[in-house]
Amino acid sequence: MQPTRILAGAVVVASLIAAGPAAAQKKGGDIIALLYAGLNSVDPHFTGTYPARSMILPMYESLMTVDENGGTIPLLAEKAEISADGLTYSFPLRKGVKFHNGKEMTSADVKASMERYAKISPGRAAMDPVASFEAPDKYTFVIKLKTPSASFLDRLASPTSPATVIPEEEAAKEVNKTGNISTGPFQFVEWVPDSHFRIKRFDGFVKRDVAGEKMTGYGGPKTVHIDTVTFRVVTEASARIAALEAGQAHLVEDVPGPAAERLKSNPKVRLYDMPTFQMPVIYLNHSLGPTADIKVRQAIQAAIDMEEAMGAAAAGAPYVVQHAWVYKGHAMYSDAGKALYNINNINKAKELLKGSGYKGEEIVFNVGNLGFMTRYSVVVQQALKEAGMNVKVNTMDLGTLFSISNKDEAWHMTTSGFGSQPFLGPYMYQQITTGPANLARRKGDTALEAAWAKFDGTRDMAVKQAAWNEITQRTYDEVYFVKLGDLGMKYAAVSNLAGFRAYPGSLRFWDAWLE
Amino acid sequence: MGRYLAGRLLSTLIVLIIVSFISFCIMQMVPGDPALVMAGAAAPADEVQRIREQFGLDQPFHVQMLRWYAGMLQGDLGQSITLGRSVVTAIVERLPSTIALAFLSFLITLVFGIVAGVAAALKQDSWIDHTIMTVAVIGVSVPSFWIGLIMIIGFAVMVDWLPAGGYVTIAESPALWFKSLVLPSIALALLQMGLLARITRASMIEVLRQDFVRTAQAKGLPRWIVVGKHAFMNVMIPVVTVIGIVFSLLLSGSVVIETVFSIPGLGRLMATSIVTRDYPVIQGALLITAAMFVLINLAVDVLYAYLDPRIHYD
Amino acid sequence: MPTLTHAFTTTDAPRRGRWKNSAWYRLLRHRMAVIGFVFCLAALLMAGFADVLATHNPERTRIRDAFQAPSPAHVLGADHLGRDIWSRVVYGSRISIGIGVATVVLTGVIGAAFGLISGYFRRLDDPLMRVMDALMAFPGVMLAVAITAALGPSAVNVVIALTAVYVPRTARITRASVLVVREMDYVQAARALGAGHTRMILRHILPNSLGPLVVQLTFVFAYAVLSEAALSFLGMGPPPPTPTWGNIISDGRDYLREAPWICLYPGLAISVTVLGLNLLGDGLRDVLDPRMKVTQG
Repeated sequence: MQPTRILAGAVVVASLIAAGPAAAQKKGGDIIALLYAGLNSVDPHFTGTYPARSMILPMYESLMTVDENGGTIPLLAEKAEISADGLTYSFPLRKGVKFHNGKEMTSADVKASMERYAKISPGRAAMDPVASFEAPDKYTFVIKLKTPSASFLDRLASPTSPATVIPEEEAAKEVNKTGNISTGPFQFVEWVPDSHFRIKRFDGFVKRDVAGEKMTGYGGPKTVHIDTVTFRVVTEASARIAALEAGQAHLVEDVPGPAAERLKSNPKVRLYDMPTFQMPVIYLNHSLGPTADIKVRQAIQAAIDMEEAMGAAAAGAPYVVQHAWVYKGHAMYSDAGKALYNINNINKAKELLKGSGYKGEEIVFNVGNLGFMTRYSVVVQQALKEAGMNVKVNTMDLGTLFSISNKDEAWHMTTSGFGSQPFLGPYMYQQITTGPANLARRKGDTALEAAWAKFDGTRDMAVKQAAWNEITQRTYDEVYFVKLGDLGMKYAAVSNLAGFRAYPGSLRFWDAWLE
Repeated sequence: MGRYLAGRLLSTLIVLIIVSFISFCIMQMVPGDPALVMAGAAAPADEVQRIREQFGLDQPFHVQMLRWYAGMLQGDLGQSITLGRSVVTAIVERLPSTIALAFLSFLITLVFGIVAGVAAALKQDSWIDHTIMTVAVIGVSVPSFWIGLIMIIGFAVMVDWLPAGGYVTIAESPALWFKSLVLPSIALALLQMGLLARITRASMIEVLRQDFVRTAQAKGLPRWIVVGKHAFMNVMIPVVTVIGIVFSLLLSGSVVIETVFSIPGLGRLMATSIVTRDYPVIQGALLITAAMFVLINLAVDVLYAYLDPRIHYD
Repeated sequence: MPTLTHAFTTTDAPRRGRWKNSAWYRLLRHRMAVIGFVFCLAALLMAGFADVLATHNPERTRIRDAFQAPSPAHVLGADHLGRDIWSRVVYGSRISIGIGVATVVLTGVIGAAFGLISGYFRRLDDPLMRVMDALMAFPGVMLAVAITAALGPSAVNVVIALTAVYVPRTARITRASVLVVREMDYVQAARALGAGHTRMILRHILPNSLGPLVVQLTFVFAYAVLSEAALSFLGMGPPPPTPTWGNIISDGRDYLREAPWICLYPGLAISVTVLGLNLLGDGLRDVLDPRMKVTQG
């Protein structure tokens, strides 16, 4: 096997890293973080939500992970070696890494973990190209693929539903029956559902120590200064803020705009902006009723005032009105699709409707009961009504919302938000725009499939960029989704919390300390 | 008395069977395929099938019902869809905070409700009476979750005395535990306080009118003895009977109050389960709260029978 | 069998004669009842003339106006989407009061029917009342929440859920008065003269049991408004952007401190309406049914 590409640790240190005085880092202290949502499972292979990542990723590590900008880097693997034919991925493992139970991590553990992941994880589709998992020796793990896939490694690294490594004997356990053991810098203390989740520093933690690497994303050499972190779920934003102001919490998520404005003048509080938290979008059903008609979809695209819709979604939080499926500043950012974004023209929409086969049929708009979704849905609904569409809104919880949108029937429009896709990069859009699970319920869009084949089949960045532009343009031309803009999130923390950096992945409490 | 008790036990049993049936019916009311609704977004077909089989949703109605009752008799109310534990475990985990909240709230209700009611009755038609009764009727008219929100602004944000939300277990810190329960207990107690004050006042006035109180007064016994000894004990009888109602109202209120104050109790379990369509949990929570209510009433009725020998059993 | 409804229901003495005129008269002399009636009337007028009273389209967003404090442009301020709070509260009264009225009508008809059947046909009494006992064993809001969770959030389903909660209480009260009325001399006489069941129930029993029923339904109205608000607050009511009082409060809870007017006014509207209904109910009870002490929840 001839390694052709070696993916080493992040060489480029993310510019985001705040240069803190190295000497000031203080050991000890307990942090209370208030989250807006809880988690339903602590199974390392069965989670896939933002709050779950905040609580779980301090404890669990994976072979590969992502850096500050969503790029793929090794974590438990020293590096990843890919054979010339792109079919064999070989991972030399770091030696001497200890699990929380004291056992050393070996290839047998990795193999068992990956097998469990491929069986039960919501992200198991990432393992579809896998032919076999092999553990040739104690410190080498090998994955063989059926067909080459340029984005396989990225998928393996994705923290969305992370492919975490747990001890072999743990991997034999059923969903939700595992004992929260991995190799991360924190270890599990307790979980009281809907109340709190507590972790403490793992003193036996073996940090990644490769010359030149710095802490970035979920990787690099991580150091824990604080003793414990308690995550409490406080769903009411006012209660979260009040607790922070009263000194009962150290960090709170999702600070509403007006509260952030007020907190600016509070010297005991420091605000953190994460301008790229997610992209609010609307899915359109290509296989049912009015939205199967391209003209109707274009009318929807033309009718909405994105400034108004994003203003509503944000309700005072930071936002950007921008067309691309990646954030500004991403290597793949381009003008593709721009002309069809934020047309904001009701008359144009009316015209498009006139030219369509639309006769006032009911358009079912399913709205999730998450704050930003209900907020922007109001603006969207209003615009479509003005354009002459008969929109029927159904509000529902996210579980129901997405289980309905997974089928061809019973919906035309669905609120959603892309969180990990724009952060991790273009490859994340492949599964949601092509194949049987595409979110637009589109059947056989050969033009788009060809563009994706071009994208996945090359490592030449120029070709990749061209393919990506084609993909973006196609999704705009065919109105796969209506993108509203980029939505940020604000955090607030006590001002003596040092070293904390907002990150689209989740909250992170390593390399942070209390002054 | 024995026959009364036996009859009372029998009817309690029948009511419990019906209560359980109604709880069972909740999942049957879900339009479409409950398994699909419960399994949610990322669920593969075999997960949906697993849920369908677990709850026997592919079985005919009577088979599902028999399974439900059989499970119930073994203390098994099924498995939560989203919490990764059994329904009984999920409920038992959350009972302590709800019980603490209900208990504190109940204490506030009893003390303030009875004192206010007695005071109003003793000073009938005075300004004290009018004020208390006005406050009481306002108390039963104001939505508790709204008062909770207003109190958050007042006590937690403006003067910073009490936490605005979140719950601390008694094991972590008894002082913080108590502080975290003060605002929600008051918000929750308001309605019951109003109700209890009104009931106490009405029964107190009735008792004060009765012959034995008048006789005692005529005999020249000091008023506080008359009121304290004769009247008060008699007032307690109707008050005891509302304990069940107060309990039921507390649990009703806990659904919104625990949401407003982020308390991980039974009410919030219910509120989150409706969002996640965790029907087994909804069914279980309904069944257990109703069963508690029925049993409390049984206890109250038996107590009542001892307290008030005038009761006629039919 | 004494149950806890014992303390609340009527065990009352017969009312005689042409009570109606004097009842109206006494009601008008009842100061609290008149105040309550005025509050209720105000709420009803608000609902009836919402389109006249509203200054803005209640669903029209205008992000520029978001979080505006009360001002001449928005008399009660604007919410997080720049919608006018006054207009939303005014239109919200339609939904909230509409749900209340629908619940009262449904509960009145079904509850009275069950109560009459139970009290009149003694053989059906026991089974019917056990079912009612079972329904009453559930904490009201919890049962309503469970039913709307199963059926889906909508105004109609809220009415169904609240009806399921309040029918048993209403049936019990009707039954109690039927039990008294059916023993009254002239009812016994009518029966002796061979009046049929339908005629007996509709001509003799029902009219004489109306007093407690009307009182109870006034309270059901009050509870329905409160419960609807709670259900909407939990996201189980009519879906947004429909303005209901509970929805408006729910919308404003994230901005309690910075924009308290969003939560404040719909809460006041609920409180005043429910207070009005409670005062009216108290007055009606004093007038129609003086022995009935306190209602139940």
